[in-house]
Amino acid sequence: MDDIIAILRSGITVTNLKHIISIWGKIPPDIKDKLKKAIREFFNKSKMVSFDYKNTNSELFTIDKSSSNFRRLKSALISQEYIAILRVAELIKWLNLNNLHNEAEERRKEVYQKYRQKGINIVDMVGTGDIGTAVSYLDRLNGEPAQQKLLFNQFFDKFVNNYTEFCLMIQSHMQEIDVEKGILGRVGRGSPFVLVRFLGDKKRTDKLDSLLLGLLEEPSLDGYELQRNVSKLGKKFQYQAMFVNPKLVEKNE
Amino acid sequence: MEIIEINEQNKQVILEIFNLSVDKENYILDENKTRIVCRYSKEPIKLENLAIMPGSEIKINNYSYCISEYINEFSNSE
Repeated sequence: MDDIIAILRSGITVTNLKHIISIWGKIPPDIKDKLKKAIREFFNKSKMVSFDYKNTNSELFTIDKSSSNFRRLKSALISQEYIAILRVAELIKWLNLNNLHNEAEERRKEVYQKYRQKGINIVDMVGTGDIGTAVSYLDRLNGEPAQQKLLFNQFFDKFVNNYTEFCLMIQSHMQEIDVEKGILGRVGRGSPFVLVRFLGDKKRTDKLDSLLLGLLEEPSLDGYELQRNVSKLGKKFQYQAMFVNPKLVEKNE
Repeated sequence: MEIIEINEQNKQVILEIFNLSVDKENYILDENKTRIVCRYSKEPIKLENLAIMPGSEIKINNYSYCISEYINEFSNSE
C-alpha cells in the first residue's frame, strides 16, 4: 500500500486514479475512506464524471467561447431555455460537420423529447445558418439597450415559433413566379417575417436578389424591410434573406 | 471542462466512491436508497446515463440538454 500512501500525499491525477481503481478491492477500508475524499475533491475541481461514451458532450463547454453567434444571442436573450437549446444546436451542427451524424441525430431526439417542435426549430435554424439572419436583425435595432433587448426577444419568440411556417427554401427548379407566390402568400398570412434561403450558382443568386428587391415595391409588402446576406459554400453561393416588418414584430398577439 | 469517462468494469468503484448504488432496474440510488431524479430532465437517472458534475457533485442525466442547462445554471464563462 506504499504506492497508495504516496498518491494520497502527492495528490490524485488521471493516471494514478486508474491505478487506484484497478486495485480498489484490495485497499483496506481506512485507506479507502481517505482515497474517497481525495478522489471526490479531484473530480470536484473541474472534471465531470460520465458513465457513457458521449465524450463529444465536452464540446458543449467550448461553445460559449467558440461561437460568435451564440455569444451574441446569449447576451441578448432573456430565456435561459433558448440559450440551453442554442448550445445543444451548436453541438449538433458541430457533430454533423464532423460526420458524426448518428450522434447528431441522437441529440436531436433528446431536444425534441424535452422542447418539442420549438427545440427542433432552433436546431434547424442553427444547422441551416438562419440563426445568422436572427443575429443580423439584432444589429439593425436602434434605441436604448433595454428597449433593444425587449424588441429582439419579441422578434426571437416569433422567429422560433413560426420558423417552419414562414421559411421558404428556394429549389433550383422553382420559377420566379413560384418564389413570388411563396413570399406574398406568407406575407398575406400576417407573418412579421419571411425567410428566404437558396443555395446555387452566382447567376441564380443575383437573379433572386433582384427579384426580392423588386418585391419590396409590392403594396402588400408595405412596412417590410429586406435584409440579405450572401456567403460562399465551396463552389456554391448561399443566399439568405428576410423580409421583416418591425411593426408586426412588436405587435402583441 | 474535462470529462472523465468511466468504463463498464470501473463503474461500481466510482459508485462506491460517491456513496451511490443501483437498484434492480439499474437506477441510481443515493445513500438513503432513494432514486436520484435529474433536476433538468425530471427523470430518475439510470446507471448508463449518470453524469456527476464538478463543484457540487450534482448528479444529472448525461443528455446534452441537461448539460447545457447545467452550464446555464453554474458556469461562469461570461
